[in-house]
Amino acid sequence: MRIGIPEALLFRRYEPFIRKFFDNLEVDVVYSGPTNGEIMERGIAHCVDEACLPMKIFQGHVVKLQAECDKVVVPRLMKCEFGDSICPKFVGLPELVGKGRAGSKIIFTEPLYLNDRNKLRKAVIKQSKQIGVSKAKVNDAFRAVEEFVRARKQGECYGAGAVSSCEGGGENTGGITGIHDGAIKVALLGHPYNISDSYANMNLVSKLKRLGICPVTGDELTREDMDEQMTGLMKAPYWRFYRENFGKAMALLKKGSVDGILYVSSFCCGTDSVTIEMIRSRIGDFSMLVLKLDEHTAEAGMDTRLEAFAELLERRRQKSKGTVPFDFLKGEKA
Amino acid sequence: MKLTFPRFGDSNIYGRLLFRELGVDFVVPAPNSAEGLERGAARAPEDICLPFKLMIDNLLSAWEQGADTVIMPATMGPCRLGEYGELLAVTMRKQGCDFRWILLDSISAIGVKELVHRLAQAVEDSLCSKRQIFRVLRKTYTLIKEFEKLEAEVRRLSPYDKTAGSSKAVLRTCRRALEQAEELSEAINIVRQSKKELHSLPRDMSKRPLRLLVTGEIYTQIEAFANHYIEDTLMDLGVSFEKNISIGWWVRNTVLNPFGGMLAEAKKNPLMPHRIGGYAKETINEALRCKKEGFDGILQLFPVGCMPEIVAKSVFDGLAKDEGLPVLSIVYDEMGGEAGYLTRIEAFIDMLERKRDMENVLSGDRCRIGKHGFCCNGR
Ligand code: SF4
Ligand code: SF4
Repeated sequence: MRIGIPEALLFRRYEPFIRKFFDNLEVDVVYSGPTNGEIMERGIAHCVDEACLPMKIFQGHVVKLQAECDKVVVPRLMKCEFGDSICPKFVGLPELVGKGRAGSKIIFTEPLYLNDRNKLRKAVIKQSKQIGVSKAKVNDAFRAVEEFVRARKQGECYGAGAVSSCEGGGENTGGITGIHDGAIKVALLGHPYNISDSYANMNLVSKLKRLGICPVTGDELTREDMDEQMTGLMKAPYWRFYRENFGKAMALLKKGSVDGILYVSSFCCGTDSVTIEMIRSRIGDFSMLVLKLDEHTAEAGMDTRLEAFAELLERRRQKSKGTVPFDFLKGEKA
Repeated sequence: MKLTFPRFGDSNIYGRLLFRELGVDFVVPAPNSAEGLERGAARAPEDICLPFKLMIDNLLSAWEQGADTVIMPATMGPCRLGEYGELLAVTMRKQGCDFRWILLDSISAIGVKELVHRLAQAVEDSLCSKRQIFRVLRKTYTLIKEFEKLEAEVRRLSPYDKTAGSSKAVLRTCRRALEQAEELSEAINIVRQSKKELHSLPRDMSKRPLRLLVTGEIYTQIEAFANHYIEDTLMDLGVSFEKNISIGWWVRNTVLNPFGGMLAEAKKNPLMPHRIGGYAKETINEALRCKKEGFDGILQLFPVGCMPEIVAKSVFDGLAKDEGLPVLSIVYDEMGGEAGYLTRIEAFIDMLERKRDMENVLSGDRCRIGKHGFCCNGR
């Protein structure tokens, strides 16, 4: 039996673990590969019109795999490792992409709670029955992944997918997340699938490099660093990427290590609409550019906006050399 | 303290009477309107859902009338309603409205003690004893129930009217009277009176209107402005319809029965096995019922960008393709475009009528006056 795994949405983020798990199961696995034009077109044709771009792309990967494989993995991610949720579309993912009879090939739809070891293990075992793998083997694979997680530093597994997968793999971007003086530094924020899918975002990272901008993804920040930033909110947010992006933005700003914020979002994204506004409400007139992706996004328009943004940052930087860039931080430090 | 909360269908009627009886000052925000929406949208983050934009305008209007405290229900994700509170507060502060916020969160998030504490804040100005408060709450719930029953009957019966529009008129008059009512008992009487009136209207029960089910996102269904007064449209077009998601339904499911969520999760539903946030699972549940009970079609309403309903729509698309379930999804955006919606609804109804005629020819005559669908008329 061939099992297809779509390389979309949060795949990059959890990639090492997913690969490790299926390698250990010793089943015939096919990965759908990075997004390309054909995948995107198929996704747009098959998905509900109202869905956001990342979902359409995911649909494209699934459609491609449905043609090639006996089963396609479409996980139902209820909660992430810290107990946050993502977005209703993730919870309804199997329904969203597997509508109608086409849904018959879809497996792994049991709810996954990454924050609850036992629940997760049970769900995985139950699922693996569908592909005819014994419980003992799943248990072994599960344990191997756990070992693997423990062996990694938090930052490593966190950001595994973000910039390193942009183009040319890890080597090419070795220095890019490192902060070196001289270059303009921009916090590159947004959902990981928008940042790491270089087809969807039209090679954003290399575009930035060409403009002499160094993207900072804040992957070295720990969960505690981000949680610290939530103080002062009426209610602790429960969306994973609200916490993450809001937290990263605030932490990076306070450190003073970036010159601007670049937020990559998708049109009609429900969670980003809240996150972006909350960041805006906190940063005063600090420069922030929001790029929204959908299937109609024109590359030329994006280039122009990026260039203008780069210029703006350069100008601001000339002006404020040597001074603390944000007044509100002065007060806090004192 | 002057209390307010955003408009939510007829919630302003109930809220006004409730707090009046409790002796708490309550401000009714101005009704939703196109200008209001514009005002709200200009101040809201783009891409946020429509309900949010309307709520901003509601709160601005309440602030102008002197309100200083807002009660907001909030739930624990994954949908946006749960995160609304924070963003609303920030947005309002930007507009210079420094409200005090009482967020009614779910028990799982803040615990029972905190919830009781927050509820107590809302009625701290009241001189009533706990018993009295409880009694007033019960009365309010009775009013909600009675009024919604009346609404349901009007929806079902209006196409049989001998003089078109007479049922609709009863409902309108009743709503007007409720807005003027002085106390809860009076309001309940008004509703009962209206019901009698409705029943005494002359009807032609030999008509055979289409039966539709209206479902979808909860705010859009409850707030008539957000769905471009679709109920009036449907009544004018002479179809009989049901709409089960209402304030009373919400109260029953979340307030009176804190395990409602768990029950809903446990309910078997092969097409949508889990609750995904918002009320998408309930939407699909309703649709499955529709098939069983012989409705002619489904109208799914939701605001543009609504995350859970997009998933539900995807399920509907599949059902439509595989089983021919007639569904019309109407996605509302801020642009007025009244005519566009109307044309689509009319076309849908036309299609359903033609389809029914075809079926009747094929399978002999059937009538559908009975509440539960088909019954043979003796042929
Ligand atoms: S979080 Fe936003 S971009 Fe991601 S699936 Fe949900 S709506 Fe789409
Ligand atoms: S259910 Fe839809 S309209 Fe309601 S908060 Fe969620 S996304 Fe917005």
